[in-house]
Amino acid sequence: MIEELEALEPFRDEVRRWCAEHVPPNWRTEQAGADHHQFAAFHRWWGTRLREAGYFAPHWPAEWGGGFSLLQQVVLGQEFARADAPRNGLYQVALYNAGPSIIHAGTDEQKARFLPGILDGTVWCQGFSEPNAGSDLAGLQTRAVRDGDHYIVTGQKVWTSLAMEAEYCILLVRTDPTAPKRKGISYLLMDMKSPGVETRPIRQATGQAEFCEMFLDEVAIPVENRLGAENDGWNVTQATLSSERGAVLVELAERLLRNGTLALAEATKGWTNDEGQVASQDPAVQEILGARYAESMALRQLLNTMVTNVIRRGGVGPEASVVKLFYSELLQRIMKDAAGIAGPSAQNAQPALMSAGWESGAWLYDYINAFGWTIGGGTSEIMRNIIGERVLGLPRDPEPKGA
Amino acid sequence: MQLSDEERDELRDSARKFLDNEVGSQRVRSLLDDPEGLDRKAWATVAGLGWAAILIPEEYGGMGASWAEMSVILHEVGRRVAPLPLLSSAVLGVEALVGGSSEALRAAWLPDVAGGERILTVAAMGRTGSVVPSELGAVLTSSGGLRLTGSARFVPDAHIADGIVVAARDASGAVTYVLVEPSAAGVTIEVEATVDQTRRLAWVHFDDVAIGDEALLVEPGAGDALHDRVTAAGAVAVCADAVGAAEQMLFTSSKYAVDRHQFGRPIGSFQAVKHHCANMLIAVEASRAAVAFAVDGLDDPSVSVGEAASVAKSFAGPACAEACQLAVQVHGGIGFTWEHDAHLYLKRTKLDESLFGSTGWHRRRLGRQILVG
Ligand SMILES: Cc1cc2nc3c(=O)[nH]c(=O)nc-3n(C[C@H](O)[C@H](O)[C@H](O)COP(=O)(O)OP(=O)(O)OC[C@H]3O[C@@H](n4cnc5c(N)ncnc54)[C@H](O)[C@@H]3O)c2cc1C
Repeated sequence: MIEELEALEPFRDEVRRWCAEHVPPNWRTEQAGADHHQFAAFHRWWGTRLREAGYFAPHWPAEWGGGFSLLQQVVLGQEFARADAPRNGLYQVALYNAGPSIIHAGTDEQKARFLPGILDGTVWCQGFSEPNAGSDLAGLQTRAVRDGDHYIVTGQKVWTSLAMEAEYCILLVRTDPTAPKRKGISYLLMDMKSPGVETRPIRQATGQAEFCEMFLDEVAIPVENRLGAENDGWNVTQATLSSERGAVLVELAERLLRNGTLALAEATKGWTNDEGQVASQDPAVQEILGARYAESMALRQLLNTMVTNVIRRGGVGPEASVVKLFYSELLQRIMKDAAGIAGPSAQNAQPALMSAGWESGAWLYDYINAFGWTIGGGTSEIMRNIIGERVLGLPRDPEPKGA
Repeated sequence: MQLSDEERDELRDSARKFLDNEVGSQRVRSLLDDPEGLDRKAWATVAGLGWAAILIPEEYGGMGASWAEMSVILHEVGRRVAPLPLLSSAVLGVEALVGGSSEALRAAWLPDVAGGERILTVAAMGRTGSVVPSELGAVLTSSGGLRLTGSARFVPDAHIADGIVVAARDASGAVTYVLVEPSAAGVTIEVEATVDQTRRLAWVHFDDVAIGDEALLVEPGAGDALHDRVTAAGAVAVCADAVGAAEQMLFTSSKYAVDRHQFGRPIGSFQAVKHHCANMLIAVEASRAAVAFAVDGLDDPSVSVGEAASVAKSFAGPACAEACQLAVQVHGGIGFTWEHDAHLYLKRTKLDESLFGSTGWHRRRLGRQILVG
């Protein structure tokens, strides 16, 4: 553990007390089977509790309602995980993408216009991916044509998480089709109620409809809603993507350890193996649990290293590229092992628990849901390319002819 | 009757053609939420083609063919994740009756089972999907005649079965196979909602069910060998199903890797994707071989059926599920949607992987066997 954390014991006590008072003890049972509207209602309620406590946007600067040190954020994440608090899922894009991008690249006027709304619970979604621009995000084709003080935007986005609940969208559009692909993209803040925006939920492999297709038909977006310079949207995005992979993972790693590995260990006490032995006493099961525990602890330590590097050196090392990949694949392994140990009982279809993210306790469902991590937010294959090329300095893939 | 290689190829081709045309993805999807979850129309046709009769001796109106033929059909059914009661009736039910010693039950049931008019199933797994006799949930007692109590879980198609063969253990731990009718007093059937919606598994509860002598497939307590045989058949059947499913996902994924472009190139030109597809092929081909080994074992009376089953389960079970995981990954966001078939295949192979004994148990059994000889 990082030494400086010791000085934060009083803060930890405070958070722990708050969690003891506010985390609804039965939220898992009550949220089981909730659809995305009920999910959203519950998360709005929980967001309000977090706001009352000042824990809603801890990673934002003090002037914008945050001002918690990185280590305080670590403590918060640890304590939320420890208390099995609901995740702050509905506001991920608002708090970790839109907000930081606006803080980073927005004008004073934009900050004044959008940040208070986010802190009040405005839901945002991220309209980046398109049918033909997934891994190759920079290949996006949604067109924005300037018409006086508006952009007229036409195109299609896809996999837009929670678009049906969102009030605003961070939208990437092509403003210069003749420029090299990364140099013709602009970053817009779109009001989801604008005429011409249509969202259609897409059902996922788990049966839930958490993401959408989004059709944009001549949507007029004021030029003043552009973040950063015209055609400089790619650079704004890069800041967003790195904050997407930053502090959140500390909490997720903690949750994975508790609600993944340790919860599985606990569950095996109630299962039997093929020979009727209690599963937790089966050496083969113990070996699997030990392996996943070691990996969970290594992930936690990787994140400690990352946090320490930020505090002591002001920057991150190679561990930053490793954590997203390592987390995603560990999540998948834990859930797969759990389903394996549970046997056909893991097939028992329980009502889905969207609020839990990836540790709903329905192991096979969580295993399937883990593709959200190995595919979403940059696939594991793309993450490996990034590690190979940017960390190790290996030669890049050859550019296709005519690119 | 053993088919020639050409005849077997014909069987495969005709099965494939029928399933592709009649039990395509749309049809399968239309039955996912259906309480019965069975394609009755397709079942009538394939029963007419003799699929339910493959392992039934000719004297009972069956084809009298071998596992080589049965596995061809199971493989094709897996390829289409089809909701057909082959595992339950054509494999487990038939193996139990044919392997049992009741001539009367064979004569009474097999002709109808061969034609698909009646459906059989076998409750052969314990609480965790285990096939170890001591784990069986159905218990046979003999106080004032034979009585069946307890519950069996993961019974395929019990809700549509006309007869349920139950593997029951007695106080001494020995296995007896008995046939109960679902309408018998004290029998209740409860379908369990499963993640794989292309098949139905049920709990079958026995509340002091009276078992007459005519319902015995074996002498009381003399069913251990039959249990080995039936559960081995089940294990090989789910592995054949999984190979078919994984093969279809290999096909779909390698096609997608050619069609889908990112960065101005087909994604299959990226080595990461290419290797995923290659790994799927390795998994499918090696699994096919493991299942072929097991199928030979089921057809050869001199081989231990346990070894045959464990070779298939130890390798093909996890390898085929892994191939389907790769299929989702290769498809990216599309592969994670309900609309794409990949999840149906992943869920099906995950279920195949878990039935008739865990992978770990089968591996340990093989390990013990090669050590002890
Ligand atoms: C649960 C979930 C939520 C999401 N939420 C959002 C959201 O809110 N907003 C949003 O904008 N997007 C979202 N996405 C989209 C996500 O970012 C994309 O799915 C992802 O970038 C992959 O793109 P794709 O689906 O088009 O797959 P593709 O890019 O077509 O990839 C297909 C396969 O090819 C591989 N591949 C592609 N290029 C290469 C390469 N150069 N080298 C090696 N392999 C390669 C991939 O790794 C993958 O295996 C979400 C996705 C998921 C699954």
